[in-house]
Amino acid sequence: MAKSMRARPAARRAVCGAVALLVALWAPAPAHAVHYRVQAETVGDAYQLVTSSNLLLNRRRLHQYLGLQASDLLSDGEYALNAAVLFRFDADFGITDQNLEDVYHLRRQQLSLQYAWVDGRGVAGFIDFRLGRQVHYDALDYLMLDGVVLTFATPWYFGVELQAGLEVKDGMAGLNQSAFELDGVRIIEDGEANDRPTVVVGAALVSRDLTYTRARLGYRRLFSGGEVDAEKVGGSFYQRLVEGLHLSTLASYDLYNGRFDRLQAGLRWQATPFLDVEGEYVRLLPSFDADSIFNIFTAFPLNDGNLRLRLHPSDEDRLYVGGMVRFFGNEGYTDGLLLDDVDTVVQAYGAMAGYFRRFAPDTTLHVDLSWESGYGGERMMGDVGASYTLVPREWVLDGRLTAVSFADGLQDNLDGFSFGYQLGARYLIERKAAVSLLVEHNFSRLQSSNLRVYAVVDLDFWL
Amino acid sequence: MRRVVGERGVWVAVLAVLVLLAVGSERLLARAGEPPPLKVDEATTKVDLGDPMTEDGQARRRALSFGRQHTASPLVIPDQEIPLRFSHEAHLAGGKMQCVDCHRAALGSVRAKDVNLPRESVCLDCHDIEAPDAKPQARCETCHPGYVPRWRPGKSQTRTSHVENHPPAVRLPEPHLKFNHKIHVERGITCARCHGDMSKHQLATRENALPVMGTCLACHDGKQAPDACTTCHVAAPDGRVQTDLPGGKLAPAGWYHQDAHDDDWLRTHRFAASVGDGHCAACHTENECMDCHNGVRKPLKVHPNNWALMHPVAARKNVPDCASCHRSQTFCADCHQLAQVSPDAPNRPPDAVRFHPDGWVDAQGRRGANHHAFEAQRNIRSCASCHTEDTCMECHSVKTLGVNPHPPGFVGSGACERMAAKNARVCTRCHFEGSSQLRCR
Repeated sequence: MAKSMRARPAARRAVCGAVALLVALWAPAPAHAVHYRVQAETVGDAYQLVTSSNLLLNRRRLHQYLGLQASDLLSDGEYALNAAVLFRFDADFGITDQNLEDVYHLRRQQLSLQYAWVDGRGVAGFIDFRLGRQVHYDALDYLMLDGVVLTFATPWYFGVELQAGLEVKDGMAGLNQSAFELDGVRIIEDGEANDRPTVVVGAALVSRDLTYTRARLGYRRLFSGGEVDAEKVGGSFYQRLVEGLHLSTLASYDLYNGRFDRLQAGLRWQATPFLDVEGEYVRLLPSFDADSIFNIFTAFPLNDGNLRLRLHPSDEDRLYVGGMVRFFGNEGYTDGLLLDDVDTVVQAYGAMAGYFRRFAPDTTLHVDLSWESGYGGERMMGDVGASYTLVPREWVLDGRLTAVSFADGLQDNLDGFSFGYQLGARYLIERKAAVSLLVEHNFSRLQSSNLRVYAVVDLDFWL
Repeated sequence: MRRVVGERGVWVAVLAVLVLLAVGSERLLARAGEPPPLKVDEATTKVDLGDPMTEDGQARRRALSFGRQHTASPLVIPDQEIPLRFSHEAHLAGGKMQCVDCHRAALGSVRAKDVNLPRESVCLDCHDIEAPDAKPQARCETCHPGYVPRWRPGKSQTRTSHVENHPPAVRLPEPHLKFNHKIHVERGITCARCHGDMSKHQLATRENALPVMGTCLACHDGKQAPDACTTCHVAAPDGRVQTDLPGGKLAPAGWYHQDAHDDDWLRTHRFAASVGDGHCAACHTENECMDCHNGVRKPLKVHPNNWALMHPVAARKNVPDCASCHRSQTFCADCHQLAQVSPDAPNRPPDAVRFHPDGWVDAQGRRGANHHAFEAQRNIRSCASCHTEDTCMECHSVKTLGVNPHPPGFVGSGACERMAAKNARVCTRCHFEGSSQLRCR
């Protein structure tokens, strides 16, 4: 009896232990784990262009992206360490051997690394970093950087950001392909001149923990061989002035050229639940790599004004009407030959209007009309597009009609009228993959029939 | 001297902005602390809402979010059906009752999907269906308008379990949000702080009783409470906001920042992105930027059909800003060479299409829009899409024709010294090594 009395608790313990083990084995994974994302995109397009000497130029290209992302590598739920990489492979089957000989930069295939970084957040409680190849954008410019960006949080509503590394240049050997390289110094016959490494250093103050204010003030210098390639200071500032009234400003001052290369200010007023009014001013004076003489020729800014009214009659309908005007002034030169010699005011202007309606979560219609005139040419365009969900979350059909009348303004032989349609279908598989096909068919005076086929296979899923 | 003053002016402006930011932050925070008003009030709206028991009445209530009323997003708080008649005003006026008298479950609720409405038995505590003389009369129709019960034969008409047909149920779909009532209550946050003064309302709906994001931001400012988006919004596996919701794609409406993802967003998102403070990265990955800015797969909205044919007009206007995605010399030039548009294109036949009008290079007299100087001085990016600097230097170099492209007063304004000090390499493209011009004389 005593023995059985002793055995019973032991058996109970064994059963409890087994249950605990089973529970441990079958319990769900910890709440926080490393998450892996795979993104693969294959894009193929084929069409033909007519060259200026009336020859056909074949464009048959295949692009492949492969992206991998690992989030929360420390499994702490805070995403303290993450990593991502994106490869891109381009193949152009339309390029002939002759083309390769003639055009220096042309390549039939190119493998490039678009980004590859490790990012840390909250190191020592106040440091964020991103190390590796990365794309950086701010008020100063776009930048593809091989280096590090460090951000130190402070208790005073701003953080301090430091940038250092090398600019990724399109012409450099290796896995380099960038759309953000400083423009201006390409020498078609001698691309090697562009291979000099460019060092990037920069710093910025960035607002944080200000609910209705966002601000950035930054400085960046790019230099190679001891000489400046670009040096800018500037920033952007947003403030919700009162409820419904928003102010945004952006400025970039080119220290090399000694002038603002971009000034921008916008005001948006949510006047009523139905109406928004938005006005914007942009002053643009493009700057180039300091190694380029193009900086010398650039003298006068483009001054653009934009106004847009948006109507929201319901959650499903939106309407807009707008206008733009551009002034080409001669500010900057106050005396001398050019002031008398060049037309002082030449303008461009335009208007646009559009309507959008959502019939169901994935069924939409849009109509856009626009007209531009003045310096640079004339363009009048009507565009109607629709997207229809044939089978929810599986089949989506797209269609679009576009009619455009355009005139170069200086050369009559570059005027024309184009009418075209697009038909597309997209098949989604479990929201992890999609296959899309788009056919574009255009008719114009210059090209009686122009067909373009565009196909995309997308994979995007978390492991 | 002028150069020094100019640069000093820039740095003084920079410092001034910093001081403004530091000084203004307290005031800005104070403003941020004001919760935005809840605008839609079913009791006072002039919109005819009809009978809440009917589908039409329910639809009209949902339509209270007409236009872009500043109410909780239907994507985050999906459409609710509350086919009830209830007056918060009658229950709360004069302090007769407190919120927790009915919504006791809210005190311990830790999930947004918890339904914290009182059960019918709570109503029956006061509205005794067995007391036909009570005021108001505790008839089914009092709370369930239009509902006519069919009582089971032989059963008393005093218990709701004795009916054969039940009134339409309240339907509150699960919100796509994280919210913990318990934590907020423990920190002494009153119901009215988030839900407003319900004593002015009849039926509580999404539009008049649920807080908007601005209400949350009043405290969730990074100091008093966390301000990460995923504090409230559901997170994707990579820690970003889960924007792909069953009702559609979650996107800002622009109430709190200039970030309304509307028809013009493709053009105007530069502002929002340029701050680089992680605002965009709360929802978007770098990959999404690269898709357009360095990709081959453009949203159709960016360029219309047959763009290759008609893009010269847009390029000369620089609308949209071509350089956002295309650098002239690394994108445009290759194609222009292949298409034999560029004058540098090999084997370009003499009868190829001319792109510039007569007199483009050497016209005399006023240099208007049909002279290359006009374009070059304003939008030289369009020139650079076909031409290299060599084209310019055929005339604008002391080594060739010596046509001076520098603006009047270039020497003596400080511009020459500044540019030469920062990069002397470029000067030697047009000027001879050792010449006095390289020393700005």
